[in-house]
Amino acid sequence: MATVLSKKPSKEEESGEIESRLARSLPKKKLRVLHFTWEYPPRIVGGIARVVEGLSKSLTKMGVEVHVITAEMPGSPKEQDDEGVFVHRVGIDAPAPNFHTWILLMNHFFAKRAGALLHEVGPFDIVHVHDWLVLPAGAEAKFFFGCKMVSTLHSLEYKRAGGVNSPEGHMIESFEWWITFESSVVIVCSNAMRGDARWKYNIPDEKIWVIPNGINPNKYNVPRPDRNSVKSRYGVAPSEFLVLFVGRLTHQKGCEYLIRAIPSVAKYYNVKLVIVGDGYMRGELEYTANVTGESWRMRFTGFLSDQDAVDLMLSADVMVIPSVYEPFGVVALEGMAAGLPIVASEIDGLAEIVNHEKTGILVRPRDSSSISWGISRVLSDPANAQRLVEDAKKELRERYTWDAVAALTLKSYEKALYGKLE
Amino acid sequence: MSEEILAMLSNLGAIESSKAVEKQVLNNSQSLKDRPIDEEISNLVRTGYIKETEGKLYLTQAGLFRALSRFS
Repeated sequence: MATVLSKKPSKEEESGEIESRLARSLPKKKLRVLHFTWEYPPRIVGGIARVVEGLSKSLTKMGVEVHVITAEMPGSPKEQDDEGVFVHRVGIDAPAPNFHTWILLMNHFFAKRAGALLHEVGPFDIVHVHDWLVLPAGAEAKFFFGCKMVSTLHSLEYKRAGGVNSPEGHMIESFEWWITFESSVVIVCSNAMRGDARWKYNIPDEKIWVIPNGINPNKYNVPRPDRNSVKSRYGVAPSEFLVLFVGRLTHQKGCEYLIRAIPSVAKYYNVKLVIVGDGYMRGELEYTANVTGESWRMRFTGFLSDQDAVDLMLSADVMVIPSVYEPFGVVALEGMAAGLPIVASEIDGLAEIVNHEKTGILVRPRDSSSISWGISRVLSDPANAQRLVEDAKKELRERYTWDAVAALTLKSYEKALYGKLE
Repeated sequence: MSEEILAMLSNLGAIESSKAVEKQVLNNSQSLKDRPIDEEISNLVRTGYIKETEGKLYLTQAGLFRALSRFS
Protein backbone atom coordinates (compact mmCIF):
# COMPACT_ATOMS: atom_id res chain seq x y z
CA MET A 1 0.00 0.00 0.00
CA ALA A 2 1.64 3.21 -1.15
CA THR A 3 0.43 5.29 1.71
CA VAL A 4 2.15 7.49 4.18
CA LEU A 5 2.33 4.66 6.64
CA SER A 6 3.60 1.87 4.48
CA LYS A 7 7.34 1.78 5.12
CA LYS A 8 9.69 0.92 7.96
CA PRO A 9 7.22 0.98 10.87
CA SER A 10 8.17 3.13 13.81
CA LYS A 11 7.42 2.18 17.41
CA GLU A 12 4.11 4.03 17.25
CA GLU A 13 3.15 2.39 13.99
CA GLU A 14 3.95 -1.05 15.31
CA SER A 15 1.68 -0.41 18.25
CA GLY A 16 -1.06 0.60 15.83
CA GLU A 17 -1.21 4.10 17.26
CA ILE A 18 -1.04 5.76 13.88
CA GLU A 19 -3.19 3.22 12.06
CA SER A 20 -6.07 5.54 11.62
CA ARG A 21 -8.46 7.32 9.37
CA LEU A 22 -5.62 8.95 7.44
CA ALA A 23 -4.15 5.61 6.46
CA ARG A 24 -7.50 4.16 5.50
CA SER A 25 -8.78 7.12 3.54
CA LEU A 26 -5.73 7.59 1.37
CA PRO A 27 -4.96 4.01 0.37
CA LYS A 28 -3.75 4.81 -3.12
CA LYS A 29 -2.64 8.38 -2.81
CA LYS A 30 0.51 9.67 -1.21
CA LEU A 31 0.10 12.44 1.28
CA ARG A 32 1.67 15.51 -0.30
CA VAL A 33 3.24 18.13 1.96
CA LEU A 34 4.83 21.46 1.03
CA HIS A 35 7.25 23.02 3.53
CA PHE A 36 8.10 26.72 3.48
CA THR A 37 11.39 27.65 5.11
CA TRP A 38 13.89 30.44 4.58
CA GLU A 39 16.81 28.09 5.25
CA TYR A 40 17.59 24.57 4.10
CA PRO A 41 21.09 23.06 3.92
CA PRO A 42 23.57 24.23 2.85
CA ARG A 43 21.91 27.55 3.73
CA ILE A 44 22.11 27.19 7.53
CA VAL A 45 21.40 30.37 9.44
CA GLY A 46 20.04 28.83 12.64
CA GLY A 47 18.38 25.58 13.67
CA ILE A 48 15.45 25.62 11.24
CA ALA A 49 17.46 24.28 8.30
CA ARG A 50 18.44 21.08 10.10
CA VAL A 51 14.94 20.57 11.47
CA VAL A 52 13.29 20.83 8.05
CA GLU A 53 15.94 18.59 6.50
CA GLY A 54 15.70 15.86 9.13
CA LEU A 55 11.91 15.93 9.31
CA SER A 56 11.46 15.98 5.53
CA LYS A 57 13.80 13.05 4.92
CA SER A 58 12.08 10.92 7.56
CA LEU A 59 8.61 11.82 6.26
CA THR A 60 9.79 10.80 2.80
CA LYS A 61 10.93 7.42 4.16
CA MET A 62 7.41 6.98 5.57
CA GLY A 63 5.95 7.42 2.10
CA VAL A 64 4.99 11.11 2.20
CA GLU A 65 5.75 13.19 -0.89
CA VAL A 66 7.64 16.15 0.52
CA HIS A 67 8.49 19.38 -1.29
CA VAL A 68 10.44 22.25 0.24
CA ILE A 69 10.37 25.83 -0.99
CA THR A 70 13.36 27.78 0.31
CA ALA A 71 15.67 30.67 -0.50
CA GLU A 72 18.47 30.36 -3.02
CA MET A 73 22.05 29.64 -2.03
CA PRO A 74 24.96 30.38 -4.35
CA GLY A 75 26.48 27.11 -5.54
CA SER A 76 23.37 25.02 -4.78
CA PRO A 77 21.01 23.76 -7.48
CA LYS A 78 17.72 25.59 -7.90
CA GLU A 79 15.88 22.26 -8.14
CA GLN A 80 17.18 19.23 -6.23
CA ASP A 81 16.08 15.73 -5.28
CA ASP A 82 17.67 15.51 -1.82
CA GLU A 83 17.24 11.84 -0.82
CA GLY A 84 13.65 11.91 -2.04
CA VAL A 85 12.85 15.42 -0.81
CA PHE A 86 12.05 17.80 -3.67
CA VAL A 87 13.85 21.05 -2.88
CA HIS A 88 12.91 24.18 -4.81
CA ARG A 89 15.40 27.03 -4.19
CA VAL A 90 13.96 30.36 -5.15
CA GLY A 91 15.88 33.46 -6.22
CA ILE A 92 14.82 36.69 -4.54
CA ASP A 93 15.23 38.71 -7.70
CA ALA A 94 14.55 42.18 -6.39
CA PRO A 95 16.64 44.33 -4.07
CA ALA A 96 15.06 45.69 -0.90
CA PRO A 97 15.91 48.73 1.20
CA ASN A 98 15.63 46.84 4.49
CA PHE A 99 15.28 43.33 5.91
CA HIS A 100 11.54 43.36 6.49
CA THR A 101 10.81 44.48 2.95
CA TRP A 102 13.19 41.77 1.75
CA ILE A 103 11.21 39.20 3.72
CA LEU A 104 7.98 40.30 2.03
CA LEU A 105 9.66 40.06 -1.38
CA MET A 106 10.97 36.61 -0.51
CA ASN A 107 7.43 35.56 0.37
CA HIS A 108 6.19 36.89 -2.96
CA PHE A 109 8.70 34.74 -4.85
CA PHE A 110 7.95 31.73 -2.64
CA ALA A 111 4.21 32.06 -3.31
CA LYS A 112 4.92 32.38 -7.02
CA ARG A 113 6.92 29.12 -6.95
CA ALA A 114 4.11 27.41 -5.02
CA GLY A 115 1.66 28.58 -7.70
CA ALA A 116 3.89 27.09 -10.38
CA LEU A 117 4.01 23.80 -8.43
CA LEU A 118 0.23 23.66 -8.56
CA HIS A 119 0.54 23.34 -12.35
CA GLU A 120 3.64 21.11 -12.28
CA VAL A 121 2.65 18.51 -9.68
CA GLY A 122 -0.88 19.40 -8.57
CA PRO A 123 -2.23 20.53 -5.21
CA PHE A 124 -0.89 19.69 -1.79
CA ASP A 125 -2.71 18.25 1.23
CA ILE A 126 -0.74 20.23 3.81
CA VAL A 127 1.39 23.36 3.74
CA HIS A 128 3.83 23.39 6.64
CA VAL A 129 5.18 26.82 7.56
CA HIS A 130 8.37 27.29 9.60
CA ASP A 131 8.28 30.53 11.59
CA TRP A 132 7.01 34.02 10.83
CA LEU A 133 9.54 34.53 8.06
CA VAL A 134 7.49 32.53 5.54
CA LEU A 135 3.99 33.01 6.88
CA PRO A 136 2.56 35.18 4.03
CA ALA A 137 3.59 32.68 1.32
CA GLY A 138 2.30 29.76 3.37
CA ALA A 139 -1.04 31.42 4.05
CA GLU A 140 -1.47 32.25 0.35
CA ALA A 141 -0.64 28.69 -0.63
CA LYS A 142 -3.13 27.36 1.87
CA PHE A 143 -5.90 29.24 0.08
CA PHE A 144 -4.93 28.54 -3.48
CA PHE A 145 -4.34 24.85 -2.81
CA GLY A 146 -7.51 24.74 -0.71
CA CYS A 147 -5.61 22.73 1.90
CA LYS A 148 -4.77 22.82 5.60
CA MET A 149 -1.87 24.65 7.17
CA VAL A 150 0.38 23.31 9.92
CA SER A 151 3.06 25.54 11.36
CA THR A 152 6.09 25.18 13.55
CA LEU A 153 6.96 28.11 15.81
CA HIS A 154 10.69 27.62 16.34
CA SER A 155 11.04 30.59 18.68
CA LEU A 156 9.17 33.73 19.71
CA GLU A 157 10.21 37.28 18.98
CA TYR A 158 9.55 38.72 22.43
CA LYS A 159 12.02 36.28 23.96
CA ARG A 160 14.46 36.14 21.06
CA ALA A 161 14.86 39.92 20.99
CA GLY A 162 14.62 40.34 24.75
CA GLY A 163 11.37 42.31 24.39
CA VAL A 164 9.45 43.89 21.54
CA ASN A 165 10.17 47.59 21.38
CA SER A 166 10.43 48.39 17.70
CA PRO A 167 8.10 48.65 14.69
CA GLU A 168 9.91 45.64 13.18
CA GLY A 169 9.32 43.63 16.34
CA HIS A 170 5.63 44.47 16.26
CA MET A 171 5.46 43.32 12.65
CA ILE A 172 7.08 40.00 13.59
CA GLU A 173 4.71 39.52 16.52
CA SER A 174 1.70 40.17 14.33
CA PHE A 175 3.00 37.54 11.90
CA GLU A 176 3.43 35.10 14.77
CA TRP A 177 -0.18 35.64 15.83
CA TRP A 178 -1.26 35.33 12.21
CA ILE A 179 0.48 31.93 11.97
CA THR A 180 -1.47 30.64 14.95
CA PHE A 181 -4.70 31.97 13.41
CA GLU A 182 -4.21 30.39 9.98
CA SER A 183 -2.88 27.04 11.22
CA SER A 184 -4.97 24.03 12.05
CA VAL A 185 -2.10 22.75 14.20
CA VAL A 186 0.73 24.75 15.74
CA ILE A 187 3.81 22.71 16.57
CA VAL A 188 6.30 23.85 19.20
CA CYS A 189 9.45 22.03 20.25
CA SER A 190 9.20 22.05 24.06
CA ASN A 191 6.76 22.45 26.93
CA ALA A 192 8.42 25.74 27.80
CA MET A 193 7.74 27.03 24.31
CA ARG A 194 4.17 25.76 24.54
CA GLY A 195 3.62 27.80 27.69
CA ASP A 196 5.17 30.92 26.15
CA ALA A 197 3.15 30.61 22.93
CA ARG A 198 -0.14 29.95 24.72
CA TRP A 199 0.46 32.87 27.07
CA LYS A 200 1.39 35.23 24.25
CA TYR A 201 -1.19 34.28 21.61
CA ASN A 202 -4.00 32.51 23.49
CA ILE A 203 -3.65 29.41 21.34
CA PRO A 204 -6.31 26.83 22.20
CA ASP A 205 -4.85 23.85 24.02
CA GLU A 206 -6.02 21.33 21.43
CA LYS A 207 -4.37 23.27 18.61
CA ILE A 208 -0.85 23.32 19.99
CA TRP A 209 1.37 20.22 19.82
CA VAL A 210 4.72 19.69 21.49
CA ILE A 211 6.98 17.74 19.14
CA PRO A 212 10.69 17.85 19.95
CA ASN A 213 13.37 18.34 17.36
CA GLY A 214 15.51 15.39 16.42
CA ILE A 215 18.97 14.50 15.34
CA ASN A 216 20.76 12.15 12.99
CA PRO A 217 23.15 10.33 15.36
CA ASN A 218 24.83 8.53 12.44
CA LYS A 219 26.58 11.76 11.63
CA TYR A 220 28.69 11.18 14.74
CA ASN A 221 29.13 7.41 14.35
CA VAL A 222 32.32 7.87 12.39
CA PRO A 223 35.89 6.87 13.18
CA ARG A 224 37.19 9.27 15.81
CA PRO A 225 39.69 11.75 14.41
CA ASP A 226 43.10 12.06 16.00
CA ARG A 227 42.15 14.28 18.95
CA ASN A 228 45.53 15.89 19.40
CA SER A 229 45.76 16.77 15.77
CA VAL A 230 42.27 18.36 15.78
CA LYS A 231 43.07 20.24 19.00
CA SER A 232 46.32 21.56 17.61
CA ARG A 233 44.46 22.98 14.58
CA TYR A 234 42.74 25.35 17.02
CA GLY A 235 45.76 26.09 19.16
CA VAL A 236 44.89 23.65 21.94
CA ALA A 237 47.76 21.56 23.28
CA PRO A 238 47.26 17.83 24.08
CA SER A 239 47.54 18.58 27.81
CA GLU A 240 44.88 21.32 27.70
CA PHE A 241 41.16 20.77 28.12
CA LEU A 242 39.07 21.89 25.16
CA VAL A 243 35.85 23.67 26.16
CA LEU A 244 33.56 23.99 23.16
CA PHE A 245 30.81 26.48 22.26
CA VAL A 246 28.85 26.01 19.04
CA GLY A 247 26.19 28.52 18.04
CA ARG A 248 25.30 31.86 16.54
CA LEU A 249 27.05 34.77 18.19
CA THR A 250 23.87 36.55 19.16
CA HIS A 251 22.35 37.88 22.37
CA GLN A 252 20.18 34.83 22.91
CA LYS A 253 23.10 32.38 22.94
CA GLY A 254 24.72 34.00 26.00
CA CYS A 255 28.31 33.39 24.89
CA GLU A 256 29.55 36.40 26.87
CA TYR A 257 28.73 34.61 30.15
CA LEU A 258 30.85 31.65 29.09
CA ILE A 259 33.76 33.90 28.09
CA ARG A 260 33.64 35.56 31.50
CA ALA A 261 33.62 32.13 33.19
CA ILE A 262 36.88 30.98 31.63
CA PRO A 263 39.33 32.89 33.91
CA SER A 264 37.87 31.23 37.03
CA VAL A 265 37.96 27.78 35.47
CA ALA A 266 41.55 28.45 34.41
CA LYS A 267 42.59 28.91 38.04
CA TYR A 268 42.20 25.14 38.49
CA TYR A 269 42.29 23.61 35.01
CA ASN A 270 44.41 24.26 31.97
CA VAL A 271 41.58 25.08 29.54
CA LYS A 272 41.09 26.64 26.17
CA LEU A 273 37.73 27.78 24.81
CA VAL A 274 36.92 27.29 21.13
CA ILE A 275 33.97 29.34 19.90
CA VAL A 276 32.44 27.98 16.70
CA GLY A 277 29.95 30.17 14.86
CA ASP A 278 29.44 33.73 13.84
CA GLY A 279 26.92 36.50 14.21
CA TYR A 280 26.32 40.16 14.74
CA MET A 281 27.84 40.10 18.24
CA ARG A 282 31.23 38.74 17.21
CA GLY A 283 33.07 42.05 17.56
CA GLU A 284 31.55 42.66 20.99
CA LEU A 285 32.44 39.15 22.15
CA GLU A 286 36.02 39.47 20.96
CA TYR A 287 36.21 42.68 22.98
CA THR A 288 34.78 40.89 26.04
CA ALA A 289 37.40 38.16 25.62
CA ASN A 290 40.14 40.81 25.58
CA VAL A 291 38.77 42.45 28.72
CA THR A 292 39.10 39.19 30.67
CA GLY A 293 42.86 39.34 30.12
CA GLU A 294 42.73 35.69 29.11
CA SER A 295 41.84 36.05 25.45
CA TRP A 296 44.83 33.86 24.59
CA ARG A 297 42.76 30.98 25.95
CA MET A 298 39.94 31.69 23.49
CA ARG A 299 39.72 31.09 19.77
CA PHE A 300 36.92 32.35 17.49
CA THR A 301 36.70 30.10 14.43
CA GLY A 302 33.77 31.69 12.58
CA PHE A 303 31.52 29.32 10.64
CA LEU A 304 33.02 25.87 10.11
CA SER A 305 32.19 23.16 7.63
CA ASP A 306 30.07 20.30 8.94
CA GLN A 307 33.09 18.01 8.90
CA ASP A 308 35.27 20.41 10.90
CA ALA A 309 32.50 20.99 13.45
CA VAL A 310 31.96 17.24 13.89
CA ASP A 311 35.73 16.69 14.29
CA LEU A 312 35.80 19.34 17.00
CA MET A 313 32.83 17.83 18.83
CA LEU A 314 34.50 14.42 18.73
CA SER A 315 37.70 15.93 20.15
CA ALA A 316 36.47 18.34 22.83
CA ASP A 317 36.24 17.66 26.58
CA VAL A 318 33.03 19.51 27.37
CA MET A 319 30.37 21.46 25.49
CA VAL A 320 28.84 24.52 27.11
CA ILE A 321 25.45 25.96 26.06
CA PRO A 322 25.08 29.21 28.03
CA SER A 323 21.90 30.41 26.26
CA VAL A 324 19.64 33.02 27.82
CA TYR A 325 16.75 31.88 25.58
CA GLU A 326 16.56 28.48 23.97
CA PRO A 327 13.18 27.08 22.89
CA PHE A 328 14.86 23.74 22.27
CA GLY A 329 18.62 23.63 21.79
CA VAL A 330 19.38 21.03 19.14
CA VAL A 331 23.09 21.69 19.69
CA ALA A 332 22.72 19.87 23.02
CA LEU A 333 21.56 16.77 21.15
CA GLU A 334 24.49 17.11 18.75
CA GLY A 335 26.93 17.31 21.64
CA MET A 336 25.34 14.29 23.32
CA ALA A 337 25.50 12.30 20.07
CA ALA A 338 29.19 13.15 19.78
CA GLY A 339 29.75 11.81 23.29
CA LEU A 340 30.41 15.17 24.92
CA PRO A 341 29.41 15.98 28.49
CA ILE A 342 26.99 18.93 28.34
CA VAL A 343 26.90 21.98 30.61
CA ALA A 344 23.75 23.99 29.80
CA SER A 345 21.67 26.86 31.12
CA GLU A 346 18.67 25.76 33.13
CA ILE A 347 16.28 27.54 30.86
CA ASP A 348 13.32 26.90 28.52
CA GLY A 349 13.65 23.81 26.32
CA LEU A 350 17.25 23.16 27.32
CA ALA A 351 16.13 22.29 30.83
CA GLU A 352 13.81 19.68 29.29
CA ILE A 353 16.54 18.07 27.20
CA VAL A 354 19.27 18.08 29.85
CA ASN A 355 18.43 16.27 33.03
CA HIS A 356 20.69 17.63 35.80
CA GLU A 357 23.33 15.16 36.94
CA LYS A 358 21.75 12.49 34.74
CA THR A 359 22.31 13.52 31.13
CA GLY A 360 24.30 16.70 31.73
CA ILE A 361 24.93 19.55 34.14
CA LEU A 362 22.48 22.45 34.43
CA VAL A 363 23.72 25.87 35.51
CA ARG A 364 22.08 29.18 36.23
CA PRO A 365 21.54 31.31 33.11
CA ARG A 366 23.39 34.66 32.86
CA ASP A 367 25.70 33.53 35.65
CA SER A 368 29.40 33.07 34.86
CA SER A 369 30.19 31.67 38.31
CA SER A 370 27.60 28.98 37.86
CA ILE A 371 28.94 28.15 34.38
CA SER A 372 32.43 27.99 35.83
CA TRP A 373 31.18 25.56 38.48
CA GLY A 374 29.48 23.42 35.82
CA ILE A 375 32.63 23.13 33.70
CA SER A 376 34.70 22.26 36.78
CA ARG A 377 32.12 19.68 37.81
CA VAL A 378 32.68 17.87 34.50
CA LEU A 379 36.46 18.22 34.38
CA SER A 380 36.97 17.21 38.01
CA ASP A 381 35.22 13.86 37.74
CA PRO A 382 35.86 12.05 34.43
CA ALA A 383 34.01 8.91 35.59
CA ASN A 384 30.88 10.90 36.35
CA ALA A 385 31.23 12.76 33.05
CA GLN A 386 31.36 9.43 31.20
CA ARG A 387 28.21 8.28 32.99
CA LEU A 388 26.43 11.47 31.91
CA VAL A 389 27.49 10.80 28.32
CA GLU A 390 26.21 7.22 28.37
CA ASP A 391 22.84 8.20 29.86
CA ALA A 392 22.49 11.05 27.38
CA LYS A 393 23.12 8.72 24.44
CA LYS A 394 20.46 6.34 25.72
CA GLU A 395 17.96 9.20 25.99
CA LEU A 396 18.84 10.31 22.47
CA ARG A 397 18.09 6.90 21.00
CA GLU A 398 14.76 6.72 22.82
CA ARG A 399 13.34 10.19 22.28
CA TYR A 400 15.08 12.24 19.64
CA THR A 401 15.34 10.28 16.41
CA TRP A 402 13.93 11.92 13.29
CA ASP A 403 11.73 8.88 12.67
CA ALA A 404 10.03 9.40 16.05
CA VAL A 405 9.64 13.12 15.33
CA ALA A 406 8.22 12.42 11.86
CA ALA A 407 5.72 9.91 13.24
CA LEU A 408 4.37 12.51 15.64
CA THR A 409 4.33 15.15 12.91
CA LEU A 410 2.34 12.79 10.72
CA LYS A 411 -0.24 12.53 13.49
CA SER A 412 -0.45 16.31 13.62
CA TYR A 413 -1.16 16.34 9.86
CA GLU A 414 -3.93 13.86 10.50
CA LYS A 415 -5.35 16.18 13.13
CA ALA A 416 -5.17 19.09 10.70
CA LEU A 417 -6.90 17.12 7.94
CA TYR A 418 -9.65 15.48 9.96
CA GLY A 419 -10.04 17.64 13.03
CA LYS A 420 -9.51 14.88 15.54
CA LEU A 421 -7.56 11.71 16.11
CA GLU A 422 -9.26 8.40 16.50
CA MET B 1 28.70 49.86 11.18
CA SER B 2 30.00 46.58 9.77
CA GLU B 3 26.71 44.87 10.64
CA GLU B 4 24.81 47.57 8.75
CA ILE B 5 26.99 47.08 5.68
CA LEU B 6 26.48 43.32 5.74
CA ALA B 7 22.73 43.73 6.26
CA MET B 8 22.49 46.22 3.41
CA LEU B 9 24.27 43.88 0.99
CA SER B 10 22.01 41.02 2.05
CA ASN B 11 18.87 43.11 1.59
CA LEU B 12 20.08 44.17 -1.84
CA GLY B 13 20.54 40.52 -2.79
CA ALA B 14 24.28 40.92 -3.33
CA ILE B 15 25.13 37.30 -2.54
CA GLU B 16 27.17 36.36 -5.62
CA SER B 17 29.39 38.14 -8.11
CA SER B 18 26.64 38.48 -10.72
CA LYS B 19 24.53 40.36 -8.15
CA ALA B 20 27.31 42.57 -6.76
CA VAL B 21 26.42 46.22 -6.13
CA GLU B 22 28.46 49.37 -6.45
CA LYS B 23 29.93 50.90 -3.31
CA GLN B 24 28.10 54.10 -4.18
CA VAL B 25 24.75 52.39 -3.51
CA LEU B 26 25.83 51.85 0.10
CA ASN B 27 27.12 55.42 0.34
CA ASN B 28 23.73 56.69 -0.74
CA SER B 29 21.67 54.58 1.61
CA GLN B 30 19.97 56.41 4.43
CA SER B 31 21.64 54.55 7.29
CA LEU B 32 25.18 54.76 5.88
CA LYS B 33 25.01 58.17 4.23
CA ASP B 34 27.96 60.47 5.04
CA ARG B 35 29.68 57.79 7.11
CA PRO B 36 33.26 56.68 6.42
CA ILE B 37 32.55 53.18 5.18
CA ASP B 38 35.68 52.55 3.12
CA GLU B 39 37.84 51.35 6.00
CA GLU B 40 35.03 49.19 7.32
CA ILE B 41 34.56 47.61 3.92
CA SER B 42 38.29 46.91 3.67
CA ASN B 43 38.13 45.17 7.06
CA LEU B 44 35.17 43.07 5.96
CA VAL B 45 36.96 42.10 2.76
CA ARG B 46 40.11 41.24 4.71
CA THR B 47 38.20 39.09 7.22
CA GLY B 48 36.36 37.21 4.48
CA TYR B 49 32.83 38.53 4.84
CA ILE B 50 32.73 40.53 1.61
CA LYS B 51 34.30 40.14 -1.82
CA GLU B 52 35.10 43.06 -4.05
CA THR B 53 35.18 42.72 -7.81
CA GLU B 54 35.61 45.57 -10.29
CA GLY B 55 34.54 48.11 -7.70
CA LYS B 56 31.43 46.15 -6.79
CA LEU B 57 30.71 44.30 -3.56
CA TYR B 58 28.96 41.08 -2.62
CA LEU B 59 28.68 38.86 0.44
CA THR B 60 30.56 35.63 0.93
CA GLN B 61 28.72 32.71 2.55
CA ALA B 62 30.13 33.75 5.95
CA GLY B 63 28.98 37.32 5.32
CA LEU B 64 25.47 36.21 4.40
CA PHE B 65 25.09 34.02 7.49
CA ARG B 66 26.42 36.77 9.75
CA ALA B 67 24.03 39.28 8.19
CA LEU B 68 21.05 36.99 8.79
CA SER B 69 22.11 35.79 12.25
CA ARG B 70 19.92 38.32 14.02
CA PHE B 71 16.71 36.97 12.56
CA SER B 72 16.80 33.21 13.03
